[in-house]
Amino acid sequence: MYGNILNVTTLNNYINSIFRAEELLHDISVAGEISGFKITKGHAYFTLKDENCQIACNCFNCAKTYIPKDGESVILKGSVDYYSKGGRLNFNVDSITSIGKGLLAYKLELLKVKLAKEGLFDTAYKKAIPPYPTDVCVITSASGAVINDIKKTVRRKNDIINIYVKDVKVQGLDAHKDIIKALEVVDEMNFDVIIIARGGGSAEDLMPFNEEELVRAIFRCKTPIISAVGHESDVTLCDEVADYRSATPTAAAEKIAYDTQELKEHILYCGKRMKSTLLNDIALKAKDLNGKVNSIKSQVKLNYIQNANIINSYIQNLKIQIDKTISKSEGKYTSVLSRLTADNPLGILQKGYWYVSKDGQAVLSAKFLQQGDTVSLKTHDGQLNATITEVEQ
Amino acid sequence: MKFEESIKELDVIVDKLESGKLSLEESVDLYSKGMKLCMECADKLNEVKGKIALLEESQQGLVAKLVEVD
Repeated sequence: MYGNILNVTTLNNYINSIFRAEELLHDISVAGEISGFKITKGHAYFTLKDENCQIACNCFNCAKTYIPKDGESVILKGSVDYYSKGGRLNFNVDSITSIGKGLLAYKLELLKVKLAKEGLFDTAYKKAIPPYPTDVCVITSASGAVINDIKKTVRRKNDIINIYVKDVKVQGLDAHKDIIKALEVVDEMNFDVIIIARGGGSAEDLMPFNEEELVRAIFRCKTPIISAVGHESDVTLCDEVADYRSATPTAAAEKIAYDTQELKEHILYCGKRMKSTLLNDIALKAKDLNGKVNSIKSQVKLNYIQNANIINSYIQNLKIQIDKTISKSEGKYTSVLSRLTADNPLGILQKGYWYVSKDGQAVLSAKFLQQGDTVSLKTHDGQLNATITEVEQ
Repeated sequence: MKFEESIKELDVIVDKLESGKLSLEESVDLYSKGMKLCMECADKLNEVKGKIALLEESQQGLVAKLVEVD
């Protein structure tokens, strides 16, 4: 029913013998691009790839040969080896020769230059990241460690920022399309800031963040965008076009997380400053007003005094005039009174004079009387009738 | 009658008395009329003096008030 049953060791040894026997797989040269290059205990482990395929490579005691960088195009000399114990296929590298920048890196460089020429990376287009955001959307994988790091970092200082997560694929062929779709949705939701975040990875893991379509989509966004992709050494086009580039997702969290306590203290301080400024202003204005009131008062006083002086001089003049008039009147009165007193007819009679009349008429001259005339004589205390006995002329 | 008119009339009375053409009765009548006018004139003078004194008093009060304005 099962035919010939093999154990794993026999199978792997068999595969191994086939690879060993195949001369085409030994001492050959392969061209490709380095990715994920790392050295452990003197041995190098990395991936060699081209546009479509990749192969895992080992280089034991790599000090003997050229040490390439990720993204570098190289020619490897070595043999294909099947590692029976692990059941894995590797390319065992004897030597590495650099052939300059890899094709992908070259294409990326071309794209970067083109977009820069169009102005997509110009600082003039960069929107400011608000200093006190309240609603922040993080576009990342909801299941990754990145979102937890961001939340933890923010919450350490700030308990009021609302953090929303838009779950997207952050790796793979269509990841950038997923991110663009998410970006277009959340850009309409009035967030204060959008963070595009992804943890570290190899250059090809970060390739979605170099896609032209995504770069253009980020450029079109109305919301300020923070790019937090990979580690500090990884710079993607997404970082270039974003309004702010954080070296890591944690750094992005630090960027938006203002200290709530500090903010409260700052607001209180501002309030105090406003109050004291206002009070100072009021005091200054009050002083100014006082000065004005005083000057008006002294002006009015001066005016009063001037007018009082004028009135006083009028009063003095009036007094002089009225005194003159009164004394003139008194003079007239006195003189008329003394004349009148002097003319008191009874007073004259008391002095021994007699009033002589004839037939009721005063006799003002002796020539009006003849011998035999009867006259009436009046003095102050009585009346007599007399006859003229003789006229002497 | 105004003070000036009274004085004028008194002048006329005195002139008449001084002419000596009057009977004793007429003189006495005129004299008492003159004395009455004199009394009226004296009253008027006193009245005017009193008014002036009052006005002076209130004027001094007014000036004192003006000086107090501060």
